[in-house]
Amino acid sequence: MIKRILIIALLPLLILAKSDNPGRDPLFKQAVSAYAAEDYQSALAQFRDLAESGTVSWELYYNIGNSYYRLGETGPAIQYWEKAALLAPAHPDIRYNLNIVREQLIDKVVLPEMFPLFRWYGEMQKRLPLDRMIRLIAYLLAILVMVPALYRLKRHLRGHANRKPVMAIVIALSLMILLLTIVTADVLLERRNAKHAVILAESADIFSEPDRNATLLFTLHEGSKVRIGKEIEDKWAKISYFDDKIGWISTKYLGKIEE
Amino acid sequence: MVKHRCFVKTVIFFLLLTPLLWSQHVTLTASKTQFSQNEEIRLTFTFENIKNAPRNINFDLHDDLQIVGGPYSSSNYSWVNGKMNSSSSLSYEVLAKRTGRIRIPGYEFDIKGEIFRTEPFTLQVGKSGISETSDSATALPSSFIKLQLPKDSMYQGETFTLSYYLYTSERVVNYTSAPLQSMEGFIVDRFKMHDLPASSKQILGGKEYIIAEIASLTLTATQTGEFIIPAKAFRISLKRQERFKSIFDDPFFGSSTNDVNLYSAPDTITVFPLPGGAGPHFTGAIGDFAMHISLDSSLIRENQASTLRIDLIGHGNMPHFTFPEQAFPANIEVFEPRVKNSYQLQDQDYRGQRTWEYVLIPSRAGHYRPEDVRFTYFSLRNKEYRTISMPVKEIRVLAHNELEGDYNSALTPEEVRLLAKDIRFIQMDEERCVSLSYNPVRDPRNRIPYVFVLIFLLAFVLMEHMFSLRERNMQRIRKKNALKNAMQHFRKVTVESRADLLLYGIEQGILNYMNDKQLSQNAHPGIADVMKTIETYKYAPGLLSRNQLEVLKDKVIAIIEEMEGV
Repeated sequence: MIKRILIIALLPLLILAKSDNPGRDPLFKQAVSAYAAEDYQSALAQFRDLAESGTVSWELYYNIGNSYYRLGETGPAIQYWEKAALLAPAHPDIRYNLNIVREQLIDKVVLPEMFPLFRWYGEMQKRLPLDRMIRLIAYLLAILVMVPALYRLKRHLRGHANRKPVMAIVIALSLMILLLTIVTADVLLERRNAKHAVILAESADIFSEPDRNATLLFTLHEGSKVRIGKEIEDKWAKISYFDDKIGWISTKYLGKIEE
Repeated sequence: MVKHRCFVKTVIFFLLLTPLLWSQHVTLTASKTQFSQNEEIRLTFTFENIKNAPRNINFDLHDDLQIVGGPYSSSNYSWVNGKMNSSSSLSYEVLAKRTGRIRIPGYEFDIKGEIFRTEPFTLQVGKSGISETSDSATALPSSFIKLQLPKDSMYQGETFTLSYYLYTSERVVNYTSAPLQSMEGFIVDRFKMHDLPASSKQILGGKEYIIAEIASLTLTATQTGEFIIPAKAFRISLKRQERFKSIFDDPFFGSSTNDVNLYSAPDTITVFPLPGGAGPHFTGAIGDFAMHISLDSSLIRENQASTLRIDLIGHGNMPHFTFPEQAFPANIEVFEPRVKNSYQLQDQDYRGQRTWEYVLIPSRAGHYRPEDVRFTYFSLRNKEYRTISMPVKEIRVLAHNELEGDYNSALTPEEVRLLAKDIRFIQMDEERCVSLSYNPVRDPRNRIPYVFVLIFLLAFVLMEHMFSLRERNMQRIRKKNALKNAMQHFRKVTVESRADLLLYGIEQGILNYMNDKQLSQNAHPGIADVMKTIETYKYAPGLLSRNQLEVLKDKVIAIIEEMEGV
């Protein structure tokens, strides 16, 4: 009886776990063929057409990034790989390409060694697949409901049931759900609020004020990733580079990662 | 009268004698005036009736004598005719540096403006055996000290170690020696008594000696010329067996400890100057060394610091030289180097490492290449000067507004490809497409599992409610079926049963009914009566006949029927 109930209860979850793929119009295949034939220009144009249709995928962004890279445009390549990483943060191909291209960047910052726990949390924030996390929390919640339900059912039917293991499972699950929820909420808020961009120009000057005549603070080079703060009339953006360097840059040099 | 005169004369004599008895004077005496070169004698200054006598005397011994102990002071007080007579003395243990006649001059003391003078005298020093404990004039003594030099000649600045060996055929229980603080022509690096020295045996003159290195002296030569390593006194405690003298001597503890002073024979060492042609990078290092240099950062900003570390590893006169001055480019501010020493005396000289850390702070952006670091030392192994030269990495200094990009090392995509580091191929298929404004929280795919969670939760609540309802209805059902159940029960209780079982069956029947109906014993006056009868015969059911039991059963059924209104 209990086994039957379990199977019936978990069936929808098993169905959900298998992601569906609606497929994509032949333009994607054509673009892939063009890329394979080393016609990067036309491959890029076709991939971009697909992106402008309003529906995207991490594969599409990834391929656009590759096309830009083959055309020698490092800045846009990084911009699109970063876009792809937002949809599939843990995908090894995206991480690999980003690591390759970062070796070519002019601007390099060597950060001090972080405490291992913070470093691990930072990495997890970057790589956490939010879709899966949200679903995982739901599955755990479902188990959290089912375990005491089965216990009660057994008790009603047989008149007795061992309470201790049920309590242990419930406590462990509750703690796990709480932890995962906190982490997921933190990552969600960070991704929602933070806006990033990549420097697209070969070099871009950062000023103390949104004015070309203001003091030149520093210069960034193509491919550097910055965090965007305030924006003024889509002309100037306040950026921060590794938190400690803050200034104003003309938005024409920026390729935004989050839409 | 004659008697009276005699008494006056005696008093006058004593009165004249008293100043002589209380006269102030200083004397210098020697414990022996004839002795051998290695024999220790005691020179004693005695101050009679002098207050504030000196506690230490710097007296000139004209290089003839060497002080090996002291000063030892003592005081004496006595009362003569009600007046105090005092004397104090200062003693020094000395050794003769040469044989022959040694004249001890008279010494003058100015104490509170009064001059006191000692009388000069002569000492006769002859050649003799090494030890005080020599058994005979010709044979080797039973114990003696031997000084061993590593070599006869040294270089000025060289660090070396002398060893003092104790040769003994007796049982040594302890040995001590006064520390050595200074020596002419040398820096005394360390005088060390060895507490547990390794020992070996050797036959000398037909006698077996135990040999142990009891002390070592590490010196660094500061002057050139011929120098005498003076005799060094060692106090050795020897345990000797005593002969029985009488029957009252203790037969078990018949041994005593004798302290003897042994002296090492003086020796001569020649210190040569270092050869010429040392060069500008020689700062007195003698030994054998290796050098290692490192720069902690070759890419820094203006006014940021980079540390040049120079490690010198090896052995020699480690503490007695500095590192040669290094030249650094203009626009680089250099602070005094921080020196870290990690060396210790081992065997002959110092071994370990010395580190000099130069903090370099460039004030302007650019590329700087400091001059090669050069260090010259005199190699004792090769008897020549050797220069170690090591290049320093170029320091690249960025302007304050320039970021830390390494323009030269940035790779082009082509270079990356050459290094077999290329990006991965494109994705051939799309697995899942989302809209541009995709939000994972709003994605129905992610929401569906939560719907199921809610369904499970509702199902759980529903199930609990259902069971709770069933629980409540159970009471009503039991109440409703109470008569039916009671009748079924009493039908099973027959007279064929044993008397005790029959009585128990009647009791259970009435109790079950009352329980199902949620009634107490007061619900009917007959119930209490029946229960009392059952309670009475419970422990002696045999007293009731079958008929009486049947009547009791009928009575119970009648009560139930009455209560049910049947």
